[in-house]
Order: sequence, then C-alpha cells, then structure tokens
Amino acid sequence: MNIMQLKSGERAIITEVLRVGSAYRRLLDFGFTPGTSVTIQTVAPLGGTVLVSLRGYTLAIRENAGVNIIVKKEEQGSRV
Amino acid sequence: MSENRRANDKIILVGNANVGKTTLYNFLTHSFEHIGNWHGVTVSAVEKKILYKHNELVIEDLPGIYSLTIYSGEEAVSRDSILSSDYKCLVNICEVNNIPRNLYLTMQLLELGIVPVLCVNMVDELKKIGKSINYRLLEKRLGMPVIPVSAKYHSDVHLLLDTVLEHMRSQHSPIDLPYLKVLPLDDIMTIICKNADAAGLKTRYAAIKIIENDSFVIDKLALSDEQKQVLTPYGALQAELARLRYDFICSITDEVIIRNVSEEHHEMHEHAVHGVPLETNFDENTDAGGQATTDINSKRALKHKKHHDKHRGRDHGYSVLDKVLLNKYLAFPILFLLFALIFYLTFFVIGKPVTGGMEYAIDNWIYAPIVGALENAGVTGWVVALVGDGIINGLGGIIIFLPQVVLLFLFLAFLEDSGYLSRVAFMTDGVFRKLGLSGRSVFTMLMGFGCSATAVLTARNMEDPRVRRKTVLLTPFMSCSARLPVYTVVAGTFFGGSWIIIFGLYLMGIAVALLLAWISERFKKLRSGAPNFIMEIPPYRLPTFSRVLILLWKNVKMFLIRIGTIIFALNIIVWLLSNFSFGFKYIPDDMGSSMLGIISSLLAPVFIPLGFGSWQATTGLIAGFVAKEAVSSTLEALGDIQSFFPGGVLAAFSYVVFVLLYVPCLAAVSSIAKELGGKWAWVSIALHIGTAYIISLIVFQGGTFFRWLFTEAGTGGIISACIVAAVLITVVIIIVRAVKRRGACTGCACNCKNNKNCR
Repeated sequence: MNIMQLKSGERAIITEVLRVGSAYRRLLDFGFTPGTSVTIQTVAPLGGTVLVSLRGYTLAIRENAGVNIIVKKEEQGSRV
Repeated sequence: MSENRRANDKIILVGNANVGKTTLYNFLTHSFEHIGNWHGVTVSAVEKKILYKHNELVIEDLPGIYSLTIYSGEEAVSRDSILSSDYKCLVNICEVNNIPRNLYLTMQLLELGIVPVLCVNMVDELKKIGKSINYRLLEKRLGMPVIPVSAKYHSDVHLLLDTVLEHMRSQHSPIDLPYLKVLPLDDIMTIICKNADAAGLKTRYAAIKIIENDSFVIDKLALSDEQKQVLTPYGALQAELARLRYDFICSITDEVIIRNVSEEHHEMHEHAVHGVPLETNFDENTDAGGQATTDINSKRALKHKKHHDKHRGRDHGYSVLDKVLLNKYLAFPILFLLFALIFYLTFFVIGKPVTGGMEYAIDNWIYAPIVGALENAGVTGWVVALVGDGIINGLGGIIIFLPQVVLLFLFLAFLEDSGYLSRVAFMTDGVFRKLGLSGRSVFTMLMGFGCSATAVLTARNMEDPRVRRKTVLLTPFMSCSARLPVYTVVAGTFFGGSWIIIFGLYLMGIAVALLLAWISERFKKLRSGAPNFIMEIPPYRLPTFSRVLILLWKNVKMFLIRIGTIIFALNIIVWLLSNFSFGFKYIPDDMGSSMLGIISSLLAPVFIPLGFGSWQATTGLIAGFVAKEAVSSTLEALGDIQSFFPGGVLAAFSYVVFVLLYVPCLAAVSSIAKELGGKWAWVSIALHIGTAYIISLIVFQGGTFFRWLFTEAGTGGIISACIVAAVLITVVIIIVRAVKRRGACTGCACNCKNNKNCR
C-alpha cells in the first residue's frame, strides 16, 4: 500500500519509494528512505493532498508523489 | 586590491528553507529583507558589506536549498554560489527542531570538500520539547565548528561572527565520510575523471552526482554515449545513497541529542504511576518500531499518554491547532471568516474613521490655509489651482489611505509569520491541483494583495515552468494595495463606503484568476500536466514586536516614496495636460477641450459599452497604467467624480471592476517581463485588458438588463426573458456537446465514432 491509502493518524514504515515521477529525488532528499516511519497527520479538506510527518517534521504531499511512497503498516500493539 | 579583498572575505549563508537565514542576515547586516514563516520566501541572492571588529565582510544570503541536486529555479542560485569558490566561509544554518534533515545538506557540503561553520538556529525552541544537544560532541563528530544561536539575540550573532573570522583564517579538511566507502565511487571516478577535469568539477562530487542523476552535472561533464551507457546502472544507487547519508546522520544525532533529565523523570513517573509505556528510543526513524512495548489498556494510561504526546510535540509542524484549522468541514469557513474579519477591521472599524479624520485634516489644515495664503499673496490663478487641486488634493486623496494599506500589510504579515499561510496552501491544494496550479501559487497570489510587482518575483520557487507562468500571469488579478484608494474613492462616492463592496472586489479578483486558470486547463497547449507539490509545513510562531515595527516602517516608506515620486509627477502632468489646451491656454472651465480631454475623448467611446464613456474616466485609466493609485488621484484632480459616471452606480461599479482587472502598473509588467520574457509581458497586457473589458461588459450590460427586468419590464418581460434565457442555455448546451463530440459522427443521433458505421 502507499501512503495515500493510510487514514489520518495512521503510522507506517516505508518499504520502498518507486523510482517514477519528477519528485523521486526530492522525496529521498526529504528523508523518505526505506525503514523510516511516517505518520499521516491529516488529509486536505478536498482530498488528494496529505500532511505527513517523518523524522520529526511535517510535509504536505500531493497525491501524484504520495502514491510512489510504498509503506507497510506497523503491527497492532506496537508503539503508537 | 579592494575588489580582491572583497571577494576574499565573502561569507555565504546556506541552509534549508525556513531555517531563519534571512532573519540572521537581517541581524548581521542590519537589513530589512523580507522574511516570513514559510518555505521559499527568499528567491534571489542578496549581499551587503559589514564591518565587524575591523574586518570588512560581505555577507550573502541565499535562497533555501535542500540538496545540491536542485529542484526549482531559485535553488540554482544557491547551488551556483556554493560551487563557485569566491567565498571565504560558508555558514550552514540548521534549525534545531529538524537537525537530521538539515544535516543532509551538510553531508553534501562535506562530500564537496567544504568545511562550513554550522550554525544551529532557534535553540530556544529545543527546551520546549525537553531535549538538549551536546554541541561540543556534535562539533567533534562533524569536524566543524558548531554555534548554537537564537537569531533573536545579538550576543549569539557576535559569537557566530567571531567563529567565522577564526574559521576563515585556518585551513580545514573535511572528516572522512564512512558511507562513501560503501559506494562504488572509485569505479565511477575512473570513468569520468577526464570529463570532470575538463568541466572544472571535483571528481568525487561529480561521481556522487552521477549516482543522483543530477542533470546539471551530467550536462557539464559532456559524457560520450558510451560513458553514459556504462554509468546508467549506477543511477539505481540513488535511494541507497540517501539512506546511507541519513543513517550516518542518525548515528550522530542519536548520540548528541539528549533528553533533559526532567523529561526523563517525567516519563518515569508517567510509566510507574499511570502505566504509560516507556519511550525506548525517542528517535523514531530507526526500525526500533518492531519492539512492542507494554499495551496501553487502561483508559487512564491512554489519557496520560495523550497528554504526554501533546506535551512533547514530537512531530514538529503539526499542532493541536491544526485539528481545528485544518478540519475537513471547518477549514474553509474559518479561512473565509478570517479574511472577512481582516477586511471588516481594515476598511470599516479602523480604516473608515481614521481615513475620514485624515481627510478632514488635509482639507482644513493643509488645503485651506495654503490655497488661502497663495490667493492672498496674489499668485496667478492657475498656479494656485495646480497646487491646490493638482498636488494637495491629488496626493492627499491617496495619503489618507495609508492607515488602511498599512493595516492590510500587517494582517498579511501576521498570516505569513504565524505559519497559517502554509496551511492555506495545503488546504486549497485540492482546488489548485484541478486548476493546474501548485499549492505554492497561494503564496505568490497572497503576496499579490500587497504588491503585484514584487509578488510576481516570488513565483521563482515553483519547479514546473507552466505552473510558474500561469501563476505569474494570474497574480496581478489579486487586488494590490495600490488599487485600494480607487475602490474607496469610488465606493465612497457611490456605495456609501461599504466594506462589503471592497471585500467583494477582492473575492472577484480571486474568482477571475481561478476561472482563467480553469479555462486554460481546458486547452491542451496550456495545460500544466501534473505538477508536484511537496512543501514543508512550518510550526506556528508568533511574530516578534520588532518584526512588526520593521514591517510597518518598510511599507509606510514604500507607500510614501511612491506618492512622493511617481504619483506626484503623474499628478502634475495630468493636471497640466487637463487644464491647458493645445494652444497652451489655461481653461479650467472647459477641461473637455484641454489636451488630455481631446486625447482621452478619442479613446473614451471604447468604454461606452462598459458604462463609463466620459473622458475623465478614461484619463484615470490611462494614468493608472503607470501606477494604479493614480486612477483615484487623477479623478480627484479632475473635479466632481459623480459627474464622470453618467451611468450611475452600475457604471461606477463596472469602472472599479475594470480597474481591478486591467494591467496593474508598469512596474508589474516589467516584473513579468523579467520573469517570463518580453513576449509574455505583452501577453499579460492583452490578457489583463481583455479580461477587464469582458468582465466589465458583463457586469454593466448584465446589470442594466436586470435593472430593466425588475423595474420596467413587469411580469410579461420577466416571462419573455426566461424564455430567451432558456433558449440561449439550450443552444449553448447543444454547442458544447457538439464540440465535446468533435470527431464523432454528427449526422445521426447514435454515438458512433465516425460516419462509416452510421446507421
């Protein structure tokens, strides 16, 4: 699944960033590397854009870049 | 010699966006460069010479940059500055809340062989989240001086400068970066070393950039096709390189960022007494997530945990306030109410009485005594009139809007500094995405409420050229502060000075811009494709008092300078041309046959369909082409405004709509030419005048029609109008459908694709 499929407040761990689109390098620069945990803070009122926190800061990301960030959800009962 | 020395002592400020580079720069150089709490405020380099302890230093402020492999136009300025070695010291500014990501750039500087002075900014914010940094250890691990500062305090800034001076005088070699040994850099370096030498690039840097697929470096290397083919597989290491850098950074930050004793104590208490699970590793980016800690089962523990998280504010940027301000249902109503409130306060609560008072003061304490004194002294009639009507009334008519303009700027600055503006960009992104714009366009457009000419320049931080072009062309539709006097003068005469009319005009500007963006998305050639939008969301901050003062001063100064120079000159020219005939005769009672009267009369008929065909109104528009404030000062200097609009309220409204939408001013046109090139400046002129004409036409003719409908036509008229409207709508629908089905068969009712299979 990708981060756009997560709900507000959900946390997941990045497994891969797909090497497509012009935003690939920028995503890496921003620290979207495999193993990093990300939290979806909220979804924009009109959808399509999310606020995602990683490495202690928050970014707004539009759908076309967000779908390339593949994540797996953290198991139940782990740190929230 | 002096030139050489200057180059030697240059210090450049480099760092991620919104870490406070410009704030620090302003502090170091006592400048007033524009700052704001959002990413990408600075879009071009600025430098200033300072004298510190008998040293001449040139400080250069650069736009924010995240990586040496750039992404948008303004970052190129920073990269080129870093790569050119005409500076003596590089100060890398970091933000304390966000050290790992900030150090990502530092790693790249080290890879390049540069040893910067690391300046950790906003250290006062660290205490709030219960952490502290072992700066000396960080210094040791990174092999560079580390200076914690809070750009708010002078003493910190002096410490920074002292360190810089010391750093400049000694030689440094960068630390070994262990992660580079894992990468096959040697292989790449053997392939490209000759090219790198020829291009004047450091081979290791070039090799790293090959992995990162940096087109700038690849172009510079002028690789042969053969080389390219060999090098392509290395591009797959890009993600690995980013991971290695971050892992190395985290190995350092895990060691140097420590939690305060009180924070540890608090956690132990929460754990022991309330059963809140312990935070094993506060840095969550490692794979420590697998270690499941105690389940939170009691309600009480949950409650405490919530308090705990809030207290710690672990995800910097997103705050509790956002739960309300970015709420799915509340976000837009709050935005709208906020803006309505700003306009209500600016134009009604504070603006109206202050402006009224100033008007009274100018009339009674400046105009009357001066004109009286001149008349008594026996000065020639036309000179008295020039001073009285041309200068005092004309300029006074604008100066009285100073409080409103300043207030509006203050509110805008507050939005900018608080960090709310970035949220606006985020929540409106859904609309902007459909219109082929980026959420970043919001910043440029909002700056447009201040001044179109300067706002246009901020579009440089947009990566997609089409989005950028569109934003630049549409920003002038945002009603800039120079247009304000026009609305207020005309609204004051015709609408009783209602603030709702003014608010409505601002909304109309936005609506027209969005509508045009939508229309351009319908055409394949103008479509923007799918622009990216990745933007950091800053935390909320309160603007400081000194910042507010600086801002006030800057805007008052700009406003007064404009009035004192361009508007002043324009006013005198307009007054002279409208009071003298071509035979240089003074004709105050017959301005229609003055020079300007005759010239404007030639153009005036064009505006008859819009309801304002008088030569005075046209003159105002011509003067407004140079500067929009001149529209109102010209109208005031020409006499009774009410008489210029024989069409009444509707004509006046159509006029302000035209003023809102047509070319903002010469300065804005030249800014557009600078950003997009001369061709697009002409396009913008045509676009703005065309749009203004069409919308004003619709307003006036539509308004006239409705007035006729409701006052004179009666029931029969309304029914016939409805029938006409229904027929028109049907025709439009049929045409639209026909256009949509272009290429499909038109000969039959079936939806077959071409005429061949037609039944």
